[in-house]
Order: sequence, then C-alpha cells, then structure tokens
Amino acid sequence: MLSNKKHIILVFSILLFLLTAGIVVRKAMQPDSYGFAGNYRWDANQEIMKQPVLNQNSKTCSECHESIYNLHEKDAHYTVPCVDCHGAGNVHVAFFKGDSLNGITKQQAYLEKEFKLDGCLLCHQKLVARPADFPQIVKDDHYKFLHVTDPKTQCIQCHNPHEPIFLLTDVKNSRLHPIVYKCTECHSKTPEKSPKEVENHPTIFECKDCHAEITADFNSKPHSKYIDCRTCHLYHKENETTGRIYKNGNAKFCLLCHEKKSFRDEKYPPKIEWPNHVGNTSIISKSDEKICLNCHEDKIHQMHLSKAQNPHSVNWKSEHKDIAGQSKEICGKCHTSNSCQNCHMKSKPSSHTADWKKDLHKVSGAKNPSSCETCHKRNSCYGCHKLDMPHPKDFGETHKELIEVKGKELCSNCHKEDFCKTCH
Amino acid sequence: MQTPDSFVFPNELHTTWTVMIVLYPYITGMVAGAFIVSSFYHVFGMEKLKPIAKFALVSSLAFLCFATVPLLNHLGRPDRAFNIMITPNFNSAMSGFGFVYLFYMTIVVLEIWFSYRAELIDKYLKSKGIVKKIYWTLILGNTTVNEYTKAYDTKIVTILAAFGIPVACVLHGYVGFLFGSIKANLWWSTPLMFIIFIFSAIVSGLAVLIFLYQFVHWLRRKPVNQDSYELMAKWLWGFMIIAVVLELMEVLSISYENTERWEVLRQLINGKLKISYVYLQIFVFSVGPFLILSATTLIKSIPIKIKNTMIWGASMMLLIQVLLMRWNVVIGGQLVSKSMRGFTEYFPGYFDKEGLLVSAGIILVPFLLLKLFDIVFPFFERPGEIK
Amino acid sequence: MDKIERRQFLKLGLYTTAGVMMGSLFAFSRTDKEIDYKSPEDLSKFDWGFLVDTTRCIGCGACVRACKVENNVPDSYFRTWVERYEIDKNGRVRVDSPNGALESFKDDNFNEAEIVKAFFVPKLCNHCYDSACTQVCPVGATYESPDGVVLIDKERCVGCGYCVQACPYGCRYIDHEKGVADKCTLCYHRIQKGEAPACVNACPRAARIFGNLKDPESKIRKILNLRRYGTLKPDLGTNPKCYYIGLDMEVK
Repeated sequence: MLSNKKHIILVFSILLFLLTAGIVVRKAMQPDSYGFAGNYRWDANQEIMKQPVLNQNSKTCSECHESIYNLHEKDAHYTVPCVDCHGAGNVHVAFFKGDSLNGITKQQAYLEKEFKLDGCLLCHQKLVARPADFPQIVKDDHYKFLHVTDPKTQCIQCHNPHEPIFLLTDVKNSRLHPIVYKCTECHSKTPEKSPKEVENHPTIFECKDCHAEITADFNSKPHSKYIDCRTCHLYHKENETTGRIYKNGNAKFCLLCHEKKSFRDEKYPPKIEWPNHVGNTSIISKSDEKICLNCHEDKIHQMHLSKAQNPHSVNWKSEHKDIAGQSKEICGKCHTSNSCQNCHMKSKPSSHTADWKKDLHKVSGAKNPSSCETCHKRNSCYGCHKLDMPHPKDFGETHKELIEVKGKELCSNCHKEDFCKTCH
Repeated sequence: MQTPDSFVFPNELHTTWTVMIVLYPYITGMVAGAFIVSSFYHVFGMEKLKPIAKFALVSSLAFLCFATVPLLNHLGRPDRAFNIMITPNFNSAMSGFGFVYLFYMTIVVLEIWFSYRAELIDKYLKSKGIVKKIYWTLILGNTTVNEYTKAYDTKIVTILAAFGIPVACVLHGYVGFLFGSIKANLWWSTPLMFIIFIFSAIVSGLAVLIFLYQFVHWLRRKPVNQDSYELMAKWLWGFMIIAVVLELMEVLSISYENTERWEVLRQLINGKLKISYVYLQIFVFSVGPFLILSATTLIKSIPIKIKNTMIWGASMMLLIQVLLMRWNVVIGGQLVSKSMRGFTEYFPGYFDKEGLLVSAGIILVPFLLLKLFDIVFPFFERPGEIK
Repeated sequence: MDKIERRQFLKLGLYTTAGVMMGSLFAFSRTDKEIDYKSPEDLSKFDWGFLVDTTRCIGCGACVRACKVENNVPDSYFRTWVERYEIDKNGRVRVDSPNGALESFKDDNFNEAEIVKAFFVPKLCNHCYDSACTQVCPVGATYESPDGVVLIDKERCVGCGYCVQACPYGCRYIDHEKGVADKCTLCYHRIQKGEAPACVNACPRAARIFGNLKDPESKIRKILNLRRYGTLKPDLGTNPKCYYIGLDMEVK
C-alpha cells in the first residue's frame, strides 16, 4: 500500500526540503543590521549621513572673508547667504583650507559670481506673486526712473551686492516699526479716496498719520515729486504685524542717483562728479557717512522728529511696560493685538530658569546690563540688591562708605562671609 | 499638452509605471482565469468542461511563467528582485507578492504533475536516450502507476485545485488591491478595484481559452467539443456582464457622489481616455461582445459554424477589452496629476526597453511556450482517442 | 540681454558648478566635519520638522538650485520646487512651476492688472508621520529614521515605483541612472553634522525654517506656537511634518 503513496511522499519531501533551504538562504541573505532599529537596514542610515556637504554655510565664508562678511551682514542683503550668488563653494573651501593635495586646481577653486543682471533678477524681477514689500524692479522702468541711458548697464555698476543700498544704520539695529501699507499693496491702482473716506476700510497707517510734520515738510521739497518716503526709508515686512524701517541718508545712497556715470543721463537728475564735488577729499575719509546731508538737508526734509511727533520717547523700551500694563487698548490704536508677542514670546524668557534668580542672571547681567532693560526697569536690581548692579567701576574705592551706611549683611546676599578676607 | 490652466507637479512629467505594468495584470488575469476554469472541472465536477480542463491548467502555467517578465523588465534594479522575499515589509500591499506568486506556482506545478503523471510514465517507458533521462527526471524516478495511484492522484489534484481557487483569486484580486489601495491616486483608489480585477481576470481567462481552443482545432482541422465550447461561451457571457457592469458602476458611483474627485476624473474620461476608454473599451469591445454572445447564447437557430466563429470573435474582442481596461486603469490613473489641475502624457515608444515591441514579445512568448508544453503535456486527446 | 543668452548664462553657471563638484566629489569626504553616529535611542530625541512661510517666499529658486547641486538631482526631477499661484479677478487660477523654478520665474501669466492674488509655494517631501510611501515599500528600503526623516536605502531599493505612486505630493521620482527611487532627505547628511538643509541654507528670505519639533525652544516650535499654519492634503491622513504658513485653498 505504501508503495502506491511513495511518489506523493517523495514530492512533498522535496517541497519540504526546498522550503527549508529557502528559509535558510533567506536568513543568510538578510543584511546584518536589518531590523536593528525597525524594518530596515540600520547601516543605511549611517551611509546616508556620509554624503559630503557641498553648500557652504556663510559662517564658513566669514572665517576668511571677514570684512566682506561684516559689510554684507550690515546691509539689506544680510539674509542672503553666500551660496546664492557664489555657488556651493565646497571646492573653493577645500582648496584654500589646504587640501590642495587632493588634486583640485586653482582654476576649479575659483568661485562663481552671479552679479550680472540676470543673477539679480532671479530675486528682483517684478512679479505680482512676490510679496509687495520685497524690492523688485521691471528693468526698463528702473532704468527709466534712474535715467540710465545705456541698456547694457549691469546692476553691479551702481549696487554693490554686498552692500546693495548703503544703509545708514546696521540693518539688524534698524527700527521695529508697525506695518505701513501702501495702497498699491492691495489695490492695483492708487485709489482716489483715502482709506478714511471709505466705509469699513481696514485700519491703514500711512507715514503721514504719525509723521505729519515731516511728510508735510517733505512734500514741500523738490524730492517729493520724484520719490516717496519708501524710496529712502526702505520698509521690510518682518511678520504679520511689524516690519523694519531703514533710515537712509548715507552719501553712497544719494550717489546711487546723483553720481555722474557714463551710462546715465547727464543732466537729469542733477549729477555730480564724485568725489571732486566735495573738493577736500579728506572730509570723506573721516567716514562721515551723512556727508551729503551736511549741506543738502534742506532739499529733503527736516531731520529731527519733534517730541510731539514721535509717539514714543527715547527710553520707550524700558518704560512701555507700565503703560502697556495699565491698558493694552492704548497700544491697540496702532499695533495689532499680538504685536507684544514679537518680543514677548512667552511670559518669561527661556533663559530665566529656576536657577536664574540665584546664580545665572549675574553672568549675563554683568556682561550686558542693557539686555535686562528690555523688560526690567533700570533700577530693578535695586529692589533686591539695594545697590546699583553690577557694581560700578569705582566700587573698590566707594564700597567702604556704603557698607558703613548699610551694613555688612548687604554683601552676604551674594558673597560668602569670608569674601572680605580675600583682600583685607 | 499643458494648457494655460493646467498644472502637473514637475516630477509627474514622467510616467513611472509603463506599459509593462499594464501587461502584468493582463497576464496574471489570464493565469487566474484559466486556472479557475480548470477548477470548474476538478473541484465542481463539471464534466462538460473535461476536454479543456488540462489545457486550461497548462496554459495557466505557461502564462504564469511569464507573468513576472514585464515586472522584471520594469524594475529599476531587477538584480535585487529577491529583496521582496528576503526583507519584505509586510505593511506594504506589494510585499506578499513573492510569496503568493511562489505558492500559486507550486500549486499549479504540483497539480499538473499529478494530472500528467500516468502519461509521463507512459512516455518514459516508450522513449530512449536523453529524452528518457529527461522523462526520468520529470517523474522523479518513480514509475509506480496503477489504479490506486491514479485514485490518489485524482484526490490530490482535487485538493490542490480547491486550494488553488482562493489563491488564484488572491493573486489577482491582490493586483487590484495594489491599485485600489493607493489613496493618492484618484482613478485607482476604490475598494471595488480588486473585485473588478477578479472578474475581469475570469473573463480574460475564459476568453483566452476559447480563443486558443478554437484556434488550435482550426489548425488541426478538427471539430471542437461543441458542448464544452458553448458552455464556456455561456460562462464568458455571464462573467463579462458582471465585469463590465462593475466597471461601469464604479464610475457611476464616483460621478454620482460628485466630489472634487469627479471633477477631475470627468475631464480624464472626456479627454485623455475618451478614445481608449469610452469608445473602445466600453462601446466597441464591451457592448460588441455582449451583443454577439447574447445572440449565440439565446438564439438556437444559428448554424454551428457561424456560431463558433462568432464566439471566437467575441472572445478575441474580450481579450482586447481586458487589455484596454488594464491600460485605462494603469496608465489612466497616472495621467491624472496629483495636483488635481492637469494631466500628463504617456506613449510607450516603439523600440524602447519598455516599449511596444517588447510588450508584443512578452504577450506572444507564453503562446509559444504553450506550444512547447503541448509536446510534453498534451492537452487534447490524441486522434485515436477521440470517442 | 535676450532670452537665449540669459538661459545660456544660467545653464553655464549651473553646469560649471555641477561639473566642478562632480570632478572632485571624492576629495571632500576627508574635509567633512566628523559625523557623530548616534544610536537610535539618541536619535529619537529629535523630530526634524519643516516650516514654509509662503508669505515670505519670493520664488527666486535659490533653494531649488542649491538642492540640485547638493544632492546631484538628475535633470527634470526635483526634490524641492517652487510653485506659483496666480488668481485673476474672474477667479481663474493659474499654477505653474517652469522647470521647478530652477531659473526662477520670468513674467506674470495674467495681465498684471487682472491679478487679484498671487503667491509662491515651495514644495518638498513632507516627511509625513504616517507616510504612504513608507507604508507601501515592499522591500523595506524606505523607512522613517528614529529622528523622523523619511529616507531611502538605495542599496535595497528595487525601483518598483510603488512609492512614487503612493506619494500624494509628487515628491518622489525614480532616478533612472541608478534605477532606484529618490527624494528629499531633509539633507540628512547635513543635519547630522549640525548644518541646515541646503534649501534652508540657501533661502534668502528665511521662508524655510527647519528644526527639532521635540525641542520647545527651537525656532520652528516657537513659530508654530505663534502662527496659524496648515498642511497639504490633510484629508489623506498622512500627517505631514512640513507645515505651511499662509496656505490657500487652491494649494493642493
């Protein structure tokens, strides 16, 4: 009987053998690190990490090109990383860091420079989709506006890409300013009515709303016919509620329009020879950046805000706490409700940990006392320390008197009892 | 082309799944369909289908051998194909493919081996030289054949066939599931997809059997077995109705739901797929065979010769219908941009690696293989054996 | 300067950079910073996320160019790209991304006066928490790393293309040269060395923000706590980890 089933048994034993062999082979073929951290080969993770970094960080560039980097950090292009114009730069860095052994020639290490018109237009070509506060041009209009006669003129002939608009103030120290809209940011044409005349129009601030005196003055001057506030006071929207406004009065900025150059219309706008115009070139070397304004201030507008015109006093940063604390509605007249959050992301800065009060704050307080003043009043140290903190420079001489008046306990707030012994 | 108002994601300009992926479900469809037909006899004991049961089984194997060829041709790294069994990710609908395919292959091979064992032994005994060696290997050196072994073999074939039906459905329904489970694709993502694939598989299986059965008998100038031929035609008629209705119901339900998705698919059906889907797949190659098969089934008075030709024609049309359906699903789905704003273009090219010439080759080779199989595993009774 | 010249210039620049880069690729592995190989447990302290502020994007394409060079992305495929949406006063929507914005955008598609709203949307792999591509990879070649980046093991990928089909965002492609799938890795090689991804590094407007979502002090967390944001195709349940500020309903 069994002999009749023999072939069946044979076939199924072969199958069983193949199955076992299959399982063994499969196990043997699985990569070693498979399943170590999940249903994948863990080594792959390490392999991916090994890919070389090509695009260089601007910090790396600053290690060698510090002066250019600092200049670049100061002006409007400060957010533009070096790689955008100069290419990845990995070969360049490798070569000049002394890795010339690996066969890179100086030719290869040469960096690309996209300072030509097309390179600039990648960002600055006028497109409706670009945010309206971003500086952008239609080439022809821009040349017309500046009376550039030679159509082959390159951007770099007026603008230094590292310092494109010659800002007077360091861009990072420029003023935080509530958002100012231009009508054309929403409307395609400048409307005839002012927003106040339109029912239910969202609140709009224009320059003249707060700076009426200056705008009126400016409007009486010849410049007002050709440019508006924002031509000089570049405005850069930072988020939904605030932006930065750049002061400008730098001589180089004025020269963008008024310097005599071969590719420009000779007469209009009025041109000067630079630096011959000044006569005595030594004045320039004094690095007086506002040199034009020294004589031509009256052509623009009055330069000093009168007290009544500036809504906030000089010490506003430290003083506003009291007013804002009383009623936020006052702020709401100009600022949107979450403007406060731009500085006060939280109720307390992250650095103010549990140890902050005890030890940590003295380090940063000593290093940069003004950083406390963002929120705290100048004299708030006094509340705990009962004396000016950090100790004034002449504290070595004056502390004797102070202790006589206030007693030794004052020192033991911070110092150990035997602290005096270190000197005495 | 891109019209001004249309947009496709930049990476979508290239169609990832080519005509190869159209062929794969087409071929597995025929595998599964042919196997199920052979099981009608083996499991459900439909004696009328006996003349084609073995033929169905062997053609199933012939197609099965080539089902993976288009896939391997399409893979970016065919040398790594076995990764799917070495390190499968069972979250993936595709990962079970290797196992299901292998399991199904085993069942078909075993079933064929058991059904042809007696004949193979017979041939072994009659042959000489190297051929004898080959037959010896095929029968695994065991020549015991008697009433008992035959009884055992029949029993095992029945069990295997019974196992095979769900596996065949899984193998092919699974291909449908591969498509139906892609939520990112508007045209594929429907739970109906795998049901449609199973039914269209049976249609293509039946159609290819009818087509070949008649074709082979014409070549051999022999009459077909009219009973089984007409029975298959009836089955084909029934299954094609179910398959086509399901296909239409799917589109109907999407259109009736009238979501954002229909807005896009409407444009697809009226635009890129107008010829291949609406005109060809539905009107010519679905309605056409339906009318023909209705006539052959319902009208008794048609002369046999004309009737058989009509059935044969209808089966050929249905083979094309299923191929069109695969094309419209696989390619059609990829034409729709995931941005829902436009459509891409696809043409496989004539002589490309994944072009039309290669495709034609891949479709034709299983038929040649079938011819080869006929020598080893004769499907139809020899002239002398006809009752 | 006419169009051809402009294109040539750009191409030249691109090719030179690429050529120089390729020629000496092998050379730089030594100069790279040391990689700190972390264990899966240490890596899981990170959860890298991405934030795109569409209101800041100027569509210059610096990110696309940087990505192409950094990752040697084949022509006409993109790991990141920038789309432009323009809606005119009749409500017609025009979306385009010429060559992925590799060479920025040239002109408005509608007449300037007709456009009522227009903006750019940079796109990249969303590194979804429940990514469809990881789910469907049959060979375990696509995986989510412990620090939450969806990556591809190019030594195991078979190039079946199933992941390309499964990604609802069109972020994947098949690299036909290598025969494997490819996509944004969030510059995994950079972030492990403490550098920002190449696109973030290149963005001149800080429209792309990258950071550790598990760190409450990270910039990305702070902005996410402050601003209103959305994700792409949230209805598909992929839970993208690439957040968008200023999304419009037209963006899909």
